[in-house]
Amino acid sequence: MGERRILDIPLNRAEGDLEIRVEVADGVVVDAWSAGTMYRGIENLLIDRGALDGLVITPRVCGICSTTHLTAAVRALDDASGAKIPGDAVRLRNVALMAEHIQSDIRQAVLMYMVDFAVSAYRAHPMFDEAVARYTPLRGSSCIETLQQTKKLLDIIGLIGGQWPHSSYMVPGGVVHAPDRIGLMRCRQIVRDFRSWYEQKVLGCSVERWREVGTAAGLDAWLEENPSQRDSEVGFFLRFARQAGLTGLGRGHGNFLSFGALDLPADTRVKAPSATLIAAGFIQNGALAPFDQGEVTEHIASSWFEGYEGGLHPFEGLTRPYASGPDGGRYSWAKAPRYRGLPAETGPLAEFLMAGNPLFSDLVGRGGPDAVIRELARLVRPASLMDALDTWLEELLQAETVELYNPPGEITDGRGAGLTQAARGALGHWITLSGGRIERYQIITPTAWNASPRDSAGIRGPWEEALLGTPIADPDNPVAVGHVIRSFDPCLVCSVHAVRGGQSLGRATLQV
Amino acid sequence: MAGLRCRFESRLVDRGWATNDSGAVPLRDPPPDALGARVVGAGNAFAGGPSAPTRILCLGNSLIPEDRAGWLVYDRLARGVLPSGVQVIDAGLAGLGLLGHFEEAGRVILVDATSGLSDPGQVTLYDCTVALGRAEGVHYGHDGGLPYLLGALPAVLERLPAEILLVGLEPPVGEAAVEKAVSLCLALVKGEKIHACQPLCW
Repeated sequence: MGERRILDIPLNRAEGDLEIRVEVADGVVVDAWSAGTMYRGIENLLIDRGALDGLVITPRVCGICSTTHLTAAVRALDDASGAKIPGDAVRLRNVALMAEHIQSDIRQAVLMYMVDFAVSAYRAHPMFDEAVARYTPLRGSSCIETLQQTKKLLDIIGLIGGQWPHSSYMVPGGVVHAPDRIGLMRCRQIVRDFRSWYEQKVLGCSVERWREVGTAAGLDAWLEENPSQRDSEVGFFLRFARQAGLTGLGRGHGNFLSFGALDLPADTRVKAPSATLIAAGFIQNGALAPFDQGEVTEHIASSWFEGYEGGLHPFEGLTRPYASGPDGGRYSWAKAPRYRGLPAETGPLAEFLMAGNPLFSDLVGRGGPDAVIRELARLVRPASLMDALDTWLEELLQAETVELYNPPGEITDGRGAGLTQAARGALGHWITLSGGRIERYQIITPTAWNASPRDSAGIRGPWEEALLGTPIADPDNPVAVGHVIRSFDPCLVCSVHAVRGGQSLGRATLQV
Repeated sequence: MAGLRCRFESRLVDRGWATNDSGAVPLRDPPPDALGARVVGAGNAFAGGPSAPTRILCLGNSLIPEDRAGWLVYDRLARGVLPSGVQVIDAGLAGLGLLGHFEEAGRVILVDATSGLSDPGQVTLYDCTVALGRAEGVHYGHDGGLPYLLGALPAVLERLPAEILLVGLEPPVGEAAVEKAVSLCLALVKGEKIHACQPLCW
């Protein structure tokens, strides 16, 4: 075996501070460590505050998925209070959440993932010139169109929530703001305009045609069916990634998790096999099992926290920072969430697999997940949401009156689990209340699942495992590591962001 | 207990989440515009007045001491009275999500913590013209928020605001710096002549 060396790779374009350490031998990664480099302690900030304060504070956990945090926070209070949510309030919550997901999916794919196709490491790639024309930051045609089109989607959240950012319109029992009819019509038009662009530029075909793609062979046939599909963002992504040899990168453990999201209101025309449009579940070795939130634990053996050994359920969880340095093998400010004691990846691919999507079941069934399949799932997830989004807006528009709020009464004691799906995967808030105050609050984000460090048994987190075998052609520009990590859409959560002087806007070790 | 119902023809509830047990929701603030910008002042130029509004976007994280300068200024401005047609917005960490707030604005005043742009504790007014459309050295992501946002504006908006300024507060930010930034914002929206304006360069 040749020389073994350690590379420390600060990762730019991740939401929050993330550092990847890999051990390289014979030009491939043989071990990996994922470190969240920043302590936040939002959970501790909430202790002893008023029961509803999480509705205002937790959306500030993240600047991109604040609606999702609001959703999780209110669902935890709904659960604790036994609130019954009127169907129209469910629709309004869902529509805002879907708008946030769709804009995040497209921005991540084009601005964070495919931008790497335009870096110098691919200068010799036959599609490099076109990649530069499409994805160069703030210059590329796809980059600019993505900015223009996704900007409008956020208007939907502003119209529904009454303000943007920091919409706090969801409350236990429903919502306290709704757009007027003109506002709803505007939401519907934004959705339809976006769908038109998405079909033309991202898919190159109608959503209905895309849904017909049900196998790996069908995907190949779709790719060559006509120039529109071949040159679409999906088509370009697949052709570039395959020619760059990205297929097979980033396999991982093969365990998948979804908390489920988007409750179906009573009497809706939207149909799904379960009570939620996005299905919940857990997959191990290809076998789907029902999701039970009681099986979630968090480990801290490799994290800078103290107070317990093994794993604790979030209702019992502790967040006691313990900055020990590298002693004792601790290396991350992220905890290690586990389901049934196992690491699990979460995100759009997991959602498709829970739903039994034939294309992604076939792709994963052939050789396991990889960075290309994972990113493809994100790029096409909007196609799976758009019909329901349009239908729920139509149903709101057709209503003579809408019911927004069922008062749950004063919320003083009890506990609740607020589970949903963020753009990046499973998000949970667990709250315990006593005397009208927050006694305990635990948040597990999607990236905590995907970026988790080793657990009490020494088992790697999902993307630590996925990095094994990744080729490092140029240690100074390990672009393949970036492809693997970004296929999970990392978000180590936003915190300090400031206008910086000089040229150092981020620790851009990965060449841009 | 009856739930809250509303007809879409009338706006019964508005921003804010405080409710009482009867389900009634107090209408506490003026109606927002499309993105819910809070209008502090007597008029709402965006909603139908003759002139485009001035928007003060206060950026940063209220939970992080090193990054809460914008929020401190917002908190002070939102409690006071601003001239007609001036909107102040707690812009938080929204980054590219703020693009919509530049639309149809006559003038945008950004307020944010800076790092390495001036001496500690200083409040500085910057002209953002140079940064508009600048792509060099910016990337989309956590650290690239404001540079990316300013870089994207010319490509994304059909019409740029006539003026985009940054009131930058260099940490540590004390009470005096916040007061100075608030005074600077008020002077700007009242149309007072400000001479000490530097180009914002990355």
